[in-house]
Amino acid sequence: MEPNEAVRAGRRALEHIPGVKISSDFKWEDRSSSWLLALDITPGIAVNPWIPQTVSVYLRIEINYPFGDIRIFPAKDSGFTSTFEHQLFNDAGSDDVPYRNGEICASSEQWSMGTTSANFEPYTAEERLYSRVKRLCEWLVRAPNRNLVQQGDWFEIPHFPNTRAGRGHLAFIESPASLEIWAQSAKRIGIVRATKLNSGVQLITEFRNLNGSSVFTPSTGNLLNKSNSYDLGLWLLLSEVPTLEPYEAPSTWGQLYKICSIQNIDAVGLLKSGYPRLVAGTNQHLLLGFPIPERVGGEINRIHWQPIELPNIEKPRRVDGFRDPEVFHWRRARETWLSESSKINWKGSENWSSDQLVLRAPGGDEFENEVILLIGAGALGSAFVDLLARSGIRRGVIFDGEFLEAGNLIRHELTMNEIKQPKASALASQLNIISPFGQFDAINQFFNGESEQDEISSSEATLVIDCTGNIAALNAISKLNLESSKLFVSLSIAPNARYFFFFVSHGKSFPIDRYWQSINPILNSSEVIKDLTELPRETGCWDPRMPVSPEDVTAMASIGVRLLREYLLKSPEHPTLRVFEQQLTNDGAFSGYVEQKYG
Amino acid sequence: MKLSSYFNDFIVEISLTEGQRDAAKTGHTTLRDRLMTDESLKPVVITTFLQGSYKRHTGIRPIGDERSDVDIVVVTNLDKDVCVPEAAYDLFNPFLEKHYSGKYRRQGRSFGITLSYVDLDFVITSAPSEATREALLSKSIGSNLTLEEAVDWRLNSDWIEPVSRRGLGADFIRKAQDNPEWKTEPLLIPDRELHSWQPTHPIAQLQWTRDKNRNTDGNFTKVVRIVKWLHRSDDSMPKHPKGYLIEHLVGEVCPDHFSSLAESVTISLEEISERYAGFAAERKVPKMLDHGLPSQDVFSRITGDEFKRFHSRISLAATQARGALDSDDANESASRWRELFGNKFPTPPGGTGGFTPRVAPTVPSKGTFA
Repeated sequence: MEPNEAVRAGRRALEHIPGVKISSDFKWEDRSSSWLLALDITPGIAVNPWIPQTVSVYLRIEINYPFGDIRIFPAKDSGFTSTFEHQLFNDAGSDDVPYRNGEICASSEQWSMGTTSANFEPYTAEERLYSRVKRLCEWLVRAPNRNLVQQGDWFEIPHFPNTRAGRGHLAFIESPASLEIWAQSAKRIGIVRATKLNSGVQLITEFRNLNGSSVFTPSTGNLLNKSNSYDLGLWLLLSEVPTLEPYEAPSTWGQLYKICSIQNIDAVGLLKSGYPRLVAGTNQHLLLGFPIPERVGGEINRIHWQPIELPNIEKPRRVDGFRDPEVFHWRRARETWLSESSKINWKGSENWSSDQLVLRAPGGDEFENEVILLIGAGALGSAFVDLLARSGIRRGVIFDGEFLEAGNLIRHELTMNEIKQPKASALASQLNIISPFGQFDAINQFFNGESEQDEISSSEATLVIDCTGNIAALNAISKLNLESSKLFVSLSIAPNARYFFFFVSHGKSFPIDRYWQSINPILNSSEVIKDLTELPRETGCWDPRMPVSPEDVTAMASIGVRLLREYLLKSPEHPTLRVFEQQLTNDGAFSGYVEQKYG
Repeated sequence: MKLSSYFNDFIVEISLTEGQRDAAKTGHTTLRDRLMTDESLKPVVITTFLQGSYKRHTGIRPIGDERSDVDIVVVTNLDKDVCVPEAAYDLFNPFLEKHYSGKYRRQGRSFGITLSYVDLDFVITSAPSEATREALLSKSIGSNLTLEEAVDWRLNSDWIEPVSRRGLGADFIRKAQDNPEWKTEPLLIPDRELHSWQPTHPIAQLQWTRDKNRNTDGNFTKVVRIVKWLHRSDDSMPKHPKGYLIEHLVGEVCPDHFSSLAESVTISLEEISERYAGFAAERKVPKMLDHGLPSQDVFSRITGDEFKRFHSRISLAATQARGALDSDDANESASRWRELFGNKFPTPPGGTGGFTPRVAPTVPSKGTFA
């Protein structure tokens, strides 16, 4: 494959970087569908134990340059063998390539070299490769000086061989709160239990001592509480992150024992004590735990667990010469897969703590402790509560007396799997599988505000949310007389999605009179009345259907969530109606939603 | 600066394109197949093989309406003492009329065939000696690969093309390099103007070029192409010397063991300038002895005036090259090389104004989410 002009131009630009020499021009690598370019770089570093003063690297450039990946690896010949921060584990890798596995993270999107602003990479042919190699030069200067990371940088766990950072089929739940529990436990080793989800992920459900008493049980949702847990193996808690200089995870048991010894932990002794508690067969693991901060130099924030998959554990059987078969099996393990030279079979893991899972969404933790009472599991209610559950709300009760029909699906979050089922329980089940913390229940009846369960649900909730668009439901809510103040919210959509209404109040009851005073002038306006008199019908059916498109439902649910976040941070001083009007141009084209001021 | 990547890209730009190489290959393989299977020529033709700048990989990219040209040797069993040159040529008339009617012409020492996509030139030889015959019938001499495509080419029975070596052990491949080559003698080609058979030694040319290329780390054939390009792109250069004569001259001066093309080109130009300054001053032409036929002077037809003008332009180019090579600034160096070689030499990033890459772009690479 001949290199195209774009990648050739990119390579020529490297001649303009002092200290960079192209030692071998493009070679096509079939296995990665990329070009390899070999560089000798003399970045101007002092003699040091890790990186030679002229170091060889390989660039692997994807075929669609200047787009696509540019990956950088130390060469096997005249490269370096250590692992640093911002680098993958630097083992020798495959025999049929001239470079090692220790990919150097020199992409500007991955770390910003101590600055607080994000550096973005230029995507022109001449600039992209140049920019990347310049950052590589900087990495090569910083690495042996041990200042690739600085105080205040986001903390990065060392890369464990054959794993992908933050990805794995084993999940745990650890937070600053659970750190306190560990701090009070004096134990270093115990039994870990897990449950297997439909997806194949094993979620840690409990940490126990070797005597079976519980150390820590992470809080999870309805779905997981009902699942079967089993012994997954052992946990072993260290005092610090396990690394060899400069920033290399241990790859052999011997290296791990040495690291533990430096931390005054007798790893072999602890493993020996825990070994009899391993279950015979496969799928046994050792979870290696260590405390980590959020930022470099910052306070310890939580425990991270890195799994080690163990080989098939043999069932203890009577062995000649050994009174205790466990002794035999321990010795054999110690001489084989637990021996110093034996490789550790690291596996990936993920932290499913709620603060980690919602990280991709901005905003704070306004929703974390809220309990919702949702009245109305229709189109708007399903969209609204779906967003709330994804944003961190864990607990709630859903009321609705209707059943899901096929015609609902155009605007509803539920699916064909749920038609003919009660909307409330179907929606609650769905919410419980959106997050591992979901504890949503359902009452498949219309809320009337008077039954005992209506009152209990109302008293336990912190948010009472009406998504019915129904006068009877609003009246039912208005009958509630609660002991403590709640945030009351009513969401509804006018026909043709002309308006979106968000009514909010804070108190011990729902101010229905104030609600009607606010909304009636708009509902009685000529446009709304016109829309109401021209409602469509299904063929052969008299009852009208509300003409609101699915995108309008979603948009309005989104607006509702945004407004709710604001009011959770600061309660409304008095009952407030927020009205958003859909804007159309003279030609009828959509041009947004704008809040209107009324009254 | 040496700017090796710039020179690598420049070489690509002045060499045959992939399409031109394919066209050349189609042209010559078709001709050679036809020559070997034609009924009228079967009693006469023994074998064919490639020679010339195409085979030696010293040809430059044709421009405009030009086509690349491929030279072929057709070895016959004609007895030079019995068959006069004209008669030798006449033997090929039926073949040419049949396959290339209206597209061929007789030249002094060869036939020329003009196709839409390539020019083919073939010479006829008389019967070779027995020793030479064995070499001429080998897979080695019959290979279609150029000297850059088969850098380890050897004229012996052990050498085979790289694509056929899969599964063969290293020992087998080493044999081709270790075992001696056939000793060959010059071939005789009919010269219509001289009415006699004249010697030529294309095999020696190939071997000499191969060895020179090896000694110069593969740079010799590239330096030839660059100097040929220089000659073509400089309007003030005389028409002659050109082609093989330039190649031969570069062969005399190209330094061994300089890994960079930039240095090899610069020193070659400087050597031509210094070594032949006296000749140029006196309007004399240096002798350039043929590698296969040392009694022949390949520069015999060049005039003193032509050589003087050629030398003058080369001397100026040598000065320009030295300035470009010695520059420490990549932008300036690239601009100077481009000034010397023309617009096929890559522009430095940012154009001739210089390269000041942005540290961060005006538009972030990840500004939206979906």
